[in-house]
Amino acid sequence: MRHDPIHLNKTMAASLVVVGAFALLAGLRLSPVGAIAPSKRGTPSASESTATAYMPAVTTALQRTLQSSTASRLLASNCFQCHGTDGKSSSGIDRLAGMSASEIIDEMQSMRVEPIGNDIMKAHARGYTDAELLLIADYFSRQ
Amino acid sequence: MISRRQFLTVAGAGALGIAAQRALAVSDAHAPTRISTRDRAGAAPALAGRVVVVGGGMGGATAARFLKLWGGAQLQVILIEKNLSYTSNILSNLVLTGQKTIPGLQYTYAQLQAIGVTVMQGEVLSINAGPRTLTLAGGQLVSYDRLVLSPGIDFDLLPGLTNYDDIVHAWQAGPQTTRLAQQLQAMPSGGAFVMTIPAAPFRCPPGPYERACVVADYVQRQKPGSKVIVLDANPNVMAERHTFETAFNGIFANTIEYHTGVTINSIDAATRTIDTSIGAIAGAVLNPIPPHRAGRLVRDNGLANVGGRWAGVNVLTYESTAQPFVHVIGDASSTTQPKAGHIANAEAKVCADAILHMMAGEPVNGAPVTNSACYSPITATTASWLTAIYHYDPISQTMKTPGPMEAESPSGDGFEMMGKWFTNLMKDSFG
Repeated sequence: MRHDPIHLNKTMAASLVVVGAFALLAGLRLSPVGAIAPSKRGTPSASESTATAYMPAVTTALQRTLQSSTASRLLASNCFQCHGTDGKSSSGIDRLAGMSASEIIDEMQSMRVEPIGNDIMKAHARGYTDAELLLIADYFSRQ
Repeated sequence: MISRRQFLTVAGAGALGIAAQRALAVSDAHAPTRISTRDRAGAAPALAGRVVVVGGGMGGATAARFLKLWGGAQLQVILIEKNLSYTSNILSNLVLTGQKTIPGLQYTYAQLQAIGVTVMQGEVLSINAGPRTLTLAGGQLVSYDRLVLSPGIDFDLLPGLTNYDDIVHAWQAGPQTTRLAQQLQAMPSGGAFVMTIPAAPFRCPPGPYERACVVADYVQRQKPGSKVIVLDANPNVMAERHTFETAFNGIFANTIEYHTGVTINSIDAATRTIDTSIGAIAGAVLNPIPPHRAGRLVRDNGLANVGGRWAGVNVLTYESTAQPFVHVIGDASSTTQPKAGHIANAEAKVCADAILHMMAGEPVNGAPVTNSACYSPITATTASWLTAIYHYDPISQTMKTPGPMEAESPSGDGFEMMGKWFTNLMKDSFG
């Protein structure tokens, strides 16, 4: 068995994934706004107001019950196009495979509040909830 | 009904070193065996059964690749494609300016074969939905448990034209792209490059505006005094509006003439003139981009149930709303997502994941997320980007985005990032 609290057991039941996500949120001392109270996220800056106007459905109780055992992998696959399959980049774009989950989450949360400018990642950082980031970061940390 | 022990021969695959003449058992094709032990590499159970993917573009290649990567050794994945390689539409506007070549944008299916995808070179004539078989051009039958169609688009023939041999749209990268590049290079200084943009939806929403920019940049350097006349059927720029309007009104203000809400009455190839709602416009080069519709397989098999042009799908699974066991991804499907290669890759992964769950008798992911991202060259050395992240909305049962975000300005760094993005995107799709 793994003892690192960052690791989620891939085969755990859907509800346990959510429980695990909350535990991770607490462990990382992150504000679980995306997971618990999406409507109470901090006041967005002008540059991110559009991105936060619609909060993804993943955070609703109904959707949590529908999270399947492959939710983490499928979410993370959104990063593969630019960062390589399973985060194993073949170009100069950052490799995500093997990064620690906390590093990925810290970076994404920082980029979320920085002006977008010409950095596409700052746009992407605004597109995922905290709960989704946890699942994505967990996946890459295990590659 | 076909026999459950029917055998078929896979032929015509030799040229790529694809499976040579080889027999494929179709046994138990409609009764995937669920194996109780879970796949060590992932959460999905190991599955037996057969998924057939038709069309080896961005969507189809990605679907085949991830069905195999995620589905495990016992899942049989067959990719049927009529060509030996795929030519990327992404970056193909740079063929017009000589910065890219068509061979340099081609991708084979060798890496898909290497992971165990069976690649068949062939053409599907019809889908036999009842028995769940495909009839190929050579008469063979191929059975499927689930079918993924990624046939891309076909083009309407614009009035006045009989083909796109001389007047080309070059909206499907290949010989037409080379032809348009030759026409542009042969254009005299002071000539007009006249392009038309169809009413949305069309493939690659920023693409036509990107083409206008890179052609304008090229003629400003190579063909002094030339014009790029853009006749858009839409009321305004349909993607990256800030970027393109800034470019049209800024660095290309003396070159690009942009007209909105223009309808085409007819095109005269002989005089290279387009008769439009704003008058007759002649050019040294005509480049009309015609309205699109889903590829033939979708239209001929009762799947084009959205406006007679596009396939309606459930975006949790990409299963057709007209026909069970048939999934349609990429440009041929009708969703709230753009028609473009990067998001076709994302749709393919959602579809592959859903199919694996469906074949295992499990619920599918109820909250899929997809993203669209695209770098657009604006000049020979600068590029911008556009991106949007989509989440499933259970109320509307559609993929929703708060809206696309675009780069503040085109940049040299953006041009460099475009190459890195393209490298990884193609590798994620084709291996």
